[in-house]
Amino acid sequence: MPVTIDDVRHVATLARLAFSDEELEGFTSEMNAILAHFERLREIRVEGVEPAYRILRRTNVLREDEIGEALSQEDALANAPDQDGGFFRVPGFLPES
Amino acid sequence: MEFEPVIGFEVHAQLTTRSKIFCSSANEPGGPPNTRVCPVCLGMPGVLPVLNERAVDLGILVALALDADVAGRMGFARKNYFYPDLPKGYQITQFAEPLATGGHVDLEIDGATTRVGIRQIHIEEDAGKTIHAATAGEGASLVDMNRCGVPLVEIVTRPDVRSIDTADALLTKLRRILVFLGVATGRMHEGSLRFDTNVSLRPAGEEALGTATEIKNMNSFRAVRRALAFEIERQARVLASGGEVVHETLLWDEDGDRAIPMRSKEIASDYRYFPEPDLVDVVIDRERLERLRGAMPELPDAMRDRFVDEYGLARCDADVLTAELDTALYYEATVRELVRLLRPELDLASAGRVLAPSADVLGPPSARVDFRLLPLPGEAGARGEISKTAANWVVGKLAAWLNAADGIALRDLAGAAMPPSRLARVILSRLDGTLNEPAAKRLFEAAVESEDAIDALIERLDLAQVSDEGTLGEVVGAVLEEHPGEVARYRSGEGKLLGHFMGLVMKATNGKADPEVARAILEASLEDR
Amino acid sequence: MRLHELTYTEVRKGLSAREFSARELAAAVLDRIESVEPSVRAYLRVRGRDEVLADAASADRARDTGGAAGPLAGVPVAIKDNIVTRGLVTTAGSRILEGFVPPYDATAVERLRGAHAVIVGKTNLDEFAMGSSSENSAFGPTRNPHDLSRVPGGSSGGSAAAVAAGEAVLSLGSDTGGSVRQPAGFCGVVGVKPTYGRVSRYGLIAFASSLDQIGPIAADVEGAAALLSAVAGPDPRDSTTAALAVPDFASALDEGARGVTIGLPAECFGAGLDAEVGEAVLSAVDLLKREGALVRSVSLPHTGHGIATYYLVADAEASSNLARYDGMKYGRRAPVEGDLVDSYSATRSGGFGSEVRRRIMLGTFALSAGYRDEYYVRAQRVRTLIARDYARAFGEVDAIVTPTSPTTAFRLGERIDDPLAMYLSDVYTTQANLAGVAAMSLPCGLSAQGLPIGLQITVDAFRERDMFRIARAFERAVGLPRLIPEF
Repeated sequence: MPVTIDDVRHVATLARLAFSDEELEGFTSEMNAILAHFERLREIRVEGVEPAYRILRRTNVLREDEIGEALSQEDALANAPDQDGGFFRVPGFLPES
Repeated sequence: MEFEPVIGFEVHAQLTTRSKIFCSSANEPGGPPNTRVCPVCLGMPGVLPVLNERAVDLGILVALALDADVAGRMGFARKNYFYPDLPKGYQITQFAEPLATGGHVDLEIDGATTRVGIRQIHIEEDAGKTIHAATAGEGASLVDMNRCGVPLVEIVTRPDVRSIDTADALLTKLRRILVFLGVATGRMHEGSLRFDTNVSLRPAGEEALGTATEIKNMNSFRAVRRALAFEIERQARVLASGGEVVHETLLWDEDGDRAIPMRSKEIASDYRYFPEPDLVDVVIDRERLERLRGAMPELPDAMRDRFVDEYGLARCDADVLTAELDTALYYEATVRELVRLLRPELDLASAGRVLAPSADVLGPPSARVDFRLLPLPGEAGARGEISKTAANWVVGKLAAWLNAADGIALRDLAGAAMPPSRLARVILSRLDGTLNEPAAKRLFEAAVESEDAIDALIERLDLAQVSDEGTLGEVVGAVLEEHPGEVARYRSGEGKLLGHFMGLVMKATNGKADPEVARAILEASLEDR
Repeated sequence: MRLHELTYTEVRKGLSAREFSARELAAAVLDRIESVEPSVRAYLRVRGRDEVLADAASADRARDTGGAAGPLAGVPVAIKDNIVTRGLVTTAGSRILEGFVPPYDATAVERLRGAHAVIVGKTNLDEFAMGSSSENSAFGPTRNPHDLSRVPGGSSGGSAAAVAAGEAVLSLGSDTGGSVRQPAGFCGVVGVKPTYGRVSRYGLIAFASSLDQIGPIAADVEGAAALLSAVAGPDPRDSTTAALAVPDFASALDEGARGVTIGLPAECFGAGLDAEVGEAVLSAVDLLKREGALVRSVSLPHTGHGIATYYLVADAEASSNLARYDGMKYGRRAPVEGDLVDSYSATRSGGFGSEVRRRIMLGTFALSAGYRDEYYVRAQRVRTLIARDYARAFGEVDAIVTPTSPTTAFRLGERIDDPLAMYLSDVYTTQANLAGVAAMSLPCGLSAQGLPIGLQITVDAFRERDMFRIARAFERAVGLPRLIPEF
């Protein structure tokens, strides 16, 4: 098993997802099954092959430095779960215990 | 044990574009919260970034000014981490394909030159502002996204700095370069320039590097000094007691005057960089480089050297005048205005040599005249008198006034009460002998406060210098008449009493006597009797 | 006349000849929706009847006053709910975006509005387009109109089902690894994945940025071509659109298949392919041959690696693209005791469904320190090899024909607990996205159970004209009747 439950827990923290231990175990075996299938990629020789990050060959797509239309403060905040005096209101950090 | 600090910096400067780096929202500091935003910089679903060309060009100017190697092709990457002021959950920055690598800054400290290497220069987007306001309530923060997407240039130095003074010189120099280039305002109190630093200590004389800590969130030179002092002392204590420095990230707490380790929860330990698929690469071709090289403004060192050569100024005066771009531009504009006043018949503008400053009163003129080539009246010495007198005024009375008027920027003064043309008139009244020195100072103080024309002020305040020999002869005669005892002492060899008589003459003329004429008459009269 | 049964071509003819008005057409479509939606559930939201009819009436007025109306004027169009619509709730099928009202339009939607198309509503999808069955929608599955016990495919299941069931004349979907083509195949309609860069992604809620494309779905080839024409073309708001003018697709439709060279990749006709699907596709190829096409074999040697490559690339990008759903600026925030980090985790764990969480986990893992080179970067290198396969093949042939999917529509629940089996249903479709080329699915027959079989035509980047030409030639030659399911 290349991926341990601790790896999965670490990944979950990075992704800001919370799982129960049971779910983590499920994920671990599931990810291992998927990764086992993906292992086949290792059969391919890729030395010297450039990664295809951007499939489009275009370069230099640039815009002029011009100011466009802004949203009103009301529109900017219209979908906010919480707001206060024109600001987004968000949970803060609690002092570390 | 003696320890040597090893220090490197990441300098972030907001670029002076009109719009943001990846959208057309305004790049303007301040303003009500969340009013300079659009779906793109708010990270709404489905939106895409489009790169602002000017941000690229300004970044290239920085790279050229620092002698860095500009990449032939650059690209952007995503730096993934969660924070409420980072609306997309990632920052678009440059990682594997930066705008430039290499380069250096040369610092002159105590007559010796120290070179600090540059590792990398790239452009990226700024995040919003999180305000931990009491009004937000317990355990809550407020977020303003206006700053999201403001273009930044990041300059990463090599760990070549070995002292706090060198650090200070480096950052001061970098700020000047950015401001002279016109790519950044350099206004530190607005947070437009921010510093992160890496510090480690090693026993003096050793090559191997110690474990470094990173300090983030400093936005003044003072904060950098304090933070470095704090951290160097802390690490030295740890090492001296046989402990080990832990690699960690600290946050500078300006109010508490200390660096606090960031909580592990706040730090994404793994940024998972990958090439930004929503943007395409930028090829920086020779044409663009040449165009920008051609548009490169004068840099601080070159300007200082020119001030020495062109205006015949002392090196120290040139240093002061070019410490801030605004001061230098103000000085040159003042000289230009003086020339205009002295030789109104010269059509300098159409000669293509002197052009009016741009709409911004301190903006650099689009073409520059070499002061040495101007056809000015009088003998060779007169030319130097103009440039040096102007320099004395700018670094002297003007600077003193600004110092006293805490909080008023030269830029603001130049735009209102004292544009260079007005100061030039004040200086001229002294240069042409209309006023003596104390009167000119009074005129300046009055001119800053009033909107009246300079001539009207001279008249209203009755400042004009009295140079007429007849008038002054009568005053001198009366003064000597009233003080026969001192006259006798002077004649018996107490030469220093001449100053006393000068003071009496000045007092009798309300300070307006031409000191040279008055002195000549006094000396002659004292001989006579 | 049952207006909802008309294909785009018939609708356009009828509107031009004023046999019926756009308002009558819209009313017929709305009536149809009312009667079949309880069974199909293609839509997440249908716009108010009055609003839709008002838009249709305004299209009629434009036609009356403006003389020649555009090809989409008055045509009812459904929009996949991962394409943002100003003022109209857009959720991407996710609880985390419940109630989100965008203050902006996707470029494709803006262009549809400008063309006087009548937007009917927002269609169901697998949450954030992650899935092949539409069962991953947070708001319940859509059903295949041809067999309500089966899935419509996915992720654009709602858009495909809506057109198949006569609940819209045209629809927009999005295709990241087959999400337009596979449901089109399952539902017996035409679906196009345009060349990467052909259609602006501005306003398409990103799943995998380097793979996503908005694509048209229609009952006929002409409808798909017309809808693509309307939404395609460069967009200053999307740096990854190609700076190419959109060719005249309509004029390609009558050019026939004579002289085009079609390649058959052996790799796509091997193990795992349903026999009757393979037979239907091969007999379609025979028909094209009779129409004058030349057929030869080509090789796509990396086909077997497409799925792994696709899921690594797509999920890595998705893990980053979905980071913005954090309950801070919009969408749903989970009420939670604790601090910021707890809020993030609770919001995201509760807001995303299990497949989305699985993909985020896999993608985060593929990019994480220590694994990035072995998974993400390696996959991107293999992607280069896949793109080279296509480049080589298109040096030899004009188009590649394969099945769209190895099977016909499967039953609801059949694969939902086996992610890998679900992923493998994309085996023929993901490669076009990886290579950035264009592909489409069109119906080529029915299985013994009466389920539609999809034929996939793939062409080189920006050669959609060739693709439409072949597709229309086949469509005319095969003459399949339009199947309108009754319930």
